Parts: sequence; structure tokens; C-alpha cells
Amino acid sequence: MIEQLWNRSSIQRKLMVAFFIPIAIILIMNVYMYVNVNSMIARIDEVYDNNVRLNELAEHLTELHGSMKEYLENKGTSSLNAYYKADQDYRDSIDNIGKSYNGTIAIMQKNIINQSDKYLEIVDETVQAKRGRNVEKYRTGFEEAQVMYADLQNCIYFLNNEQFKVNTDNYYILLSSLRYMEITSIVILIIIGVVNIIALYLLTRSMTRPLTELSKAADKVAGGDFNVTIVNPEGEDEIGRVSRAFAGMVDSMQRYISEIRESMLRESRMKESELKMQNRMREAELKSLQAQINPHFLFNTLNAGAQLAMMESADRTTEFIQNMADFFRYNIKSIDKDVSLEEELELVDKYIYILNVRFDGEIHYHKDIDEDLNSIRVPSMILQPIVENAVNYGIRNIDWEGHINLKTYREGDLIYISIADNGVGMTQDKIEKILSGDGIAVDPDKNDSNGIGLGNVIERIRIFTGREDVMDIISEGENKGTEFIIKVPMHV
Amino acid sequence: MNESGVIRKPNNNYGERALRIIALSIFLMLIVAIGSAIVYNSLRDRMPGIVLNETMEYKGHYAFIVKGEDEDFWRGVYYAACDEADKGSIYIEDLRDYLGVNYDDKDLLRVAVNSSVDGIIYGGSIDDEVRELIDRAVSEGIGVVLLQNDIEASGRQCFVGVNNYELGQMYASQIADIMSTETDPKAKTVDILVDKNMSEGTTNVITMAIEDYFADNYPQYPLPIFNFKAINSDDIFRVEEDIRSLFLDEENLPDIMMCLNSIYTRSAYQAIVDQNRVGEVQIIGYYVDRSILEAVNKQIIYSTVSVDTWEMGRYSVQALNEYRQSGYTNSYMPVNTQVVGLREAGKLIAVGEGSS
Repeated sequence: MIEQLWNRSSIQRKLMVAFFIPIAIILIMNVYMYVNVNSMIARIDEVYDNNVRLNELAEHLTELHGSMKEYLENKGTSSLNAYYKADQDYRDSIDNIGKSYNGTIAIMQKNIINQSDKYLEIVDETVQAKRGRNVEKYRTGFEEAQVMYADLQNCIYFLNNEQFKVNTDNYYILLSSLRYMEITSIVILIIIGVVNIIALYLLTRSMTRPLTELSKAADKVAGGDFNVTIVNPEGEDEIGRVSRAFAGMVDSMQRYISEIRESMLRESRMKESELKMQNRMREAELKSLQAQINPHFLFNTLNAGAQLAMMESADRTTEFIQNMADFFRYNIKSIDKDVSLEEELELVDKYIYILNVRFDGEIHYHKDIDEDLNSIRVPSMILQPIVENAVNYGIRNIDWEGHINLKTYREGDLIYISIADNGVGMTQDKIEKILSGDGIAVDPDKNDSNGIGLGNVIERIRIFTGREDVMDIISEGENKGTEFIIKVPMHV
Repeated sequence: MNESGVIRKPNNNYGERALRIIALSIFLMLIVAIGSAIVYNSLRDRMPGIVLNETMEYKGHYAFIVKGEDEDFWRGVYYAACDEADKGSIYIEDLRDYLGVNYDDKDLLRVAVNSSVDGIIYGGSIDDEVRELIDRAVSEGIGVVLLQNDIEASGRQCFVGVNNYELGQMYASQIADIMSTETDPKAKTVDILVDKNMSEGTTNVITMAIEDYFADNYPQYPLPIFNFKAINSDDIFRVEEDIRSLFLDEENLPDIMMCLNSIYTRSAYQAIVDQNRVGEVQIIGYYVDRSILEAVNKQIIYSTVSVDTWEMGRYSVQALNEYRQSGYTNSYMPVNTQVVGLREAGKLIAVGEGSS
């Protein structure tokens, strides 16, 4: 509860508390000492009060006795008045002393008071006797009063002395007590002061430590090191808030920098893949150009051939040359663009047609096409090189009837394009080489190739889809044929 | 660039430590402050001698007035009286403490009466003036107890002490003892040292008691020849001189010297040693203290009469208390007396050494 209150307090309030309480304690101690010293001084003053009172009593006794004697001698009115006044003064002085049994001094005072009462009685009788002119009586009374006066003076004198001795002792005791109190006060103040200084030092250090660490952290952050430790981010005071704000700021900066870095990385990757694509394109184009010195010339020539064959009503020749012309035209236009799957399939149809004309229908080509997938976009020139590979390395030199099956289908988000032959098959080693890009199934130097290798095809599909797993090559062994399965996502 | 980022280290100790520091320092300061205040107050309260506010409240106040020459004896009585008085919170005031220099016992008695004390224990000289003062005190309701010397004719409430006749008989037994050591005892000269103020009646009682003792117990012995030597006890230095002069008068040296108080006993003992008269004069003393016992043990003093001062002091206070409470008390309270001879002195010394 207190700790929570403390944590929620501002630094100003904490410092106020830290300063106020010790100051209050010092103040209270000072007040306590001051009151004690004052009471001590008051007691010292009081010490000699009794002596003063006894001196007054003795003086008034002398006055009373003197005034009585004077009256007895001259019986004057002024003497009588002086006597009455002295009598009253003396009675007042006695009242000041007080009568009790409390202690030896008090008993001595009691003796004086009792003697005084009798003395006053005698003196009064003596004065009355004088007024009544009873010479014998006032003479006897005076003698008696004289003796009692001497007794009283002696008793007062002794009591005064006794009290003075005691009071002097008291005085010295009080003085030493005062001195002791002085020393005590100084010691207490020193102790409290030292404790106070130590407490304040520890307190301010504990309060400023998070600030110090924060400044160190700021230096580290300024130096680019975001690996910082921030103390007391939960504190509710100003330091806590600054710590939290700083931590938040460092976090934000770090996140921002991280985002920038990722974005740059992504951009760099994109650029890289774009470059790769361009390289492959260039490569494909180069191969294409190397294979066909002038496709445009060839294409135009073929078109002229087709028109010629048409005019001669040679329909099959016309169809053949037309297909040839379409095939080359495709090669020219589409290498750097994506095309629909349908276009790729048409190209394969044309290619197979051309080959079957060449090889007299040796190639048995079957299609199982999912029409819904025809509109899917794929890189151009990816099916024909595979079919070409299946023809050249799969079924060309076999003794049995060669078949090539092409199938498109969909499983989940993936579109599968399968090109299978029943040729010589492929070893696993070779499959792995092809998939890793080391092996090139199509020999670009061969005359019946369009020059685009499988590695090029796989690489372009990978770049196009952004996936690594774009092709499976399945062969169950020698003479068991080979199946190439291209996997393209529905949405690239 | 390191990517591990900001570590938020909750400084759990921060608030807690600050609080602990404050709490500890406040606690320390309070301990120091309160502790020193307590220590200071206790030291101040324990400081001796401050009597401004003495709280001892007495229920009564008796004056103790005795004649000053036999200090040891009366000091014993005074302490016993104080001891008894403490039980009833009575204050015993020895007026000689502050008036003794200029005042004699009669003056002190007057002061006590004029001070309207609650009771007076008086062991001073006896004369008519004293009797009048005693009567005045009694008339004012102040109880008076007399010690040692009685004035039966006065209005005193009680006499506490030894009956002079009894005392005389004890001295007589010692004289007879001395005579019994001789085969043919002759009449002994006995100097009886008495205060010059002692009444003739008192001395007569003592001599009568001695004579009676011899008549009753040793009729065959010749009666001692008594010489009363008046000693001026008012001046303590004169006492010693007077007694010493007795030993210088070789022709009139007594066979036996009877001392009726402790001052005379000590002075006689000192003088007999100084004058080398040990054995020639037999001293019969009064009172028992260490030096007198040593003297008895060394046979410098033949024997001494011990009066129980403790009983005397106690009885006097008891008598006054009784009088204050009931209005009357025993008129005579005898105290125990004992003759201490060689054998007893040896025992007492042994007991004293054992106890010390």
C-alpha cells in the first residue's frame, strides 16, 4: 500500500518526503532540547528562590522587631504604624514560605513558622501592654520577644545556610545537567545529521540510478546498439515515464529499421529474380537465335510455302507448312511473356504434328486436358521443350511404339501439367541433376531442338511462381518411361 | 547491429529500496532521539541532591535534645530513635545540628517548645528552668520524654533510662569485686566523677545504693569513702584537663574511680595510661564502645556499665507515639544495663571481630 503510494508519487513529492521527515525530526529534537534547557534554566532560577524568600523573611523580622522596639521606646503613632506594617509584611512573608511536613527543610520552615506565630503573639501582647501602659508586662514581653527574635534569626540563618548549601549543590548539578544536555544535543544532532546525509545520499542515488542507466542506454542507442537494458519502466514517476517512453522509442526505431531492412531485402530479391529471369530470357533468345538464324525470314518463307502449297491444292503440305509457320511464330513472339496454358498446349499440338510428319506418325500423342485450366497463365515455352525432351531422349530410339501423354488437372491450389512418355526412362541420378539445374536434357546443338533446355524451363517456372518445388520427374527405371509433372499455383 | 533489443528490467528494488532507506533512517533517527531522551530523563531523575521537590512526608516531628558532652552515647540513642521513628514516618530533629554551637540544652528545649514540635526527647541538664519549659511544653500538648535524668516533679510523660539506685548498686558490686580480691580489704577511696550540674539528690541516691549494697551483701567489708569530683561538662576540653589533674594529685589518688558517663570513662582511661597509673587506680566506667572494651580487655579499665542505648532510643519514640495516640504512656521505661568485665569484654570483642 505504502510502496504503491510511493511508486505513484512524483520525484518532487518523494524528495519532499525525504527532506521533510528528517528536518521534522531534527526540528522536534531541537524543540525538545529547547524545552528541556528552558525548564532547566527555570529550575536554576528557582533554586535560589527559597533563599530570597528567607532573606525577605529575616529582613521583615528585623523590621518588625525594630519597629516594636522603637514603639516601646517612644510610643509614637508613626512607630505604631510602622509596626503594623512590619507585622503585616512579616505575616505575608511567612505565608510565602508555607507550612508542611514534606522533608527536613520543610520541617525547619515549620519550626520557623510556629516560632513566628508565638513571636507575633508575644510582640502583639507587648505592644498592647505598652499601649495600656503596663510597664512590667511589656518589659517582660520585650525580653521574651528578644529571646524569641534571636532564636528566630538563628533558625532563619541556619535554614538559609542549609538551603544555600543544598541549592548550591543543586545549582552545580543543574549546571552539569545543562552541560550534559548540551553535549547530548550536539551528539544527537550530529547522529541525526549523519544519518540524514547518508539516507539522502542513498535515497537520491536510488532515485537517480534509473536516470543514469537511461542516459547510458541513450548513449548506446546513439552508438547504434539497440541491445539496452532500461531499469524501472514500471515506475509511475517522471523517471518511470521517461524510461517507458525511451523504451517505446527504441522499440519503434528498431521496428522501423527492421521493416526498412526487410523491404530492402525483398526489393533486392525481386531485382535479383528479375535479373535472373531476364538472363534466362536472354539465354533462351540467344539459343533460339543460334538455332534459327532468322526466324522472321523462316516464318515468312514458310508462309509463302504454305500459300504455294494451297495454290497447288496440296492440303497436307499446306497444313504442315502452316503448323511450321505457327510454331516458329510462337517461338518468336512469346519467349519473354507469360501465356495461357491453352497457347502452350496448342504449341505442343503443332510440335507433335510437325514431328509426326517428320517421323511418319511414330509418335502417339494423347491429351487429357481440363478445359477450366486453359486460361491459367504460365511462362511461355515450357511444355514444348519437355515434350521435345520426351521425344528425343525418351521414345526416339525405342523398339516399341512410342507414346506421349499430356494431362492437365488440378489438386487444391495447384495445377498439375503431366507429360509422360513410355521411353527409355531416366536414372534417379539424372533426375536429381536435372532438378538441381546441373543436367540439361535437351542438347541445344541438336538440329531438331529449339535450343531451350530443361534447366532453363525449370528456372523460369521457379522465378515465375516464386516457388522452388515446381517440377517432379518420375521414372520407375530403365525402359519404364518418364513423367514430368509441372506444378503451378492457381494464383501466381 | 544487435537485434535483441530493449530489455525492460523492472527495478523492483527502486521504490522498495527508497522506502526502506527512508523507513530505516527515520527509525534510526527516532531511536536515537527517543533513546537519548529516555537516557537523559533517567539520568536527570537519578541525579542526587535535588531536594526542591522532596516528597517525603512526615506524620510527626520530635525534637531530640541532649547534652553534648557524651556524644557517642547519645549518637547511639539518636540512631535508635530515628530507626524507630522511621517506622511511623516521624522525623527526629536533633536541634544541636544547627543551633548547638550557640545554644545549650535548655535553649534548645525552649526553641523546640516555641516551634510547637509534636514531641520532645530530652536528655540534658536538669533544673527549674528546664522543669518550667517541660511544663510549658506539656501544657501546649507537646509530649516530653526524659532520658537519663528524671524530674519526677515535672509534667513529663515518661522517663526512659536507668534508675540511679540500680546504677549505684551495679557500681557497688564492682567495688565489692575489687575488694574481694584482697585478703584483708580495707576501706577504699572512691572518686565519683559527676557533672557539676548533677543534682545532689542524684548523687545521694547513688551513694545510698552503694551503701545499701554493701550492708546487704558485704557487711564485713568497710564502706568505701566517697569523694564527688565535679567535672565541668559544659566545656569538653575542660573535662579531659579536670580528670588528668586528678591523677597528678599523687597524695589524693583514689583507689577506685567511678565514671558516670562515657566521656569521663575515656578521659580517665587516657589519663591513667599517660600518667602510668594503671593498676594503682581501678576505673569503673560507663558505656561500651570499641576503645572502652579494648581498655577493659587490657585491664586498664576494671569494668564498665553498659546501658542499652538502642532500647533507650526506641522506648523514647514509642512512649511519645503512645502519648500522641492515646494521651498517656508509661511514666517509666527502664532500659537494660549490664556490667562488662574482663570476660565479657573479651567475648564482645570476639563477636565484634566476627561480625566485622
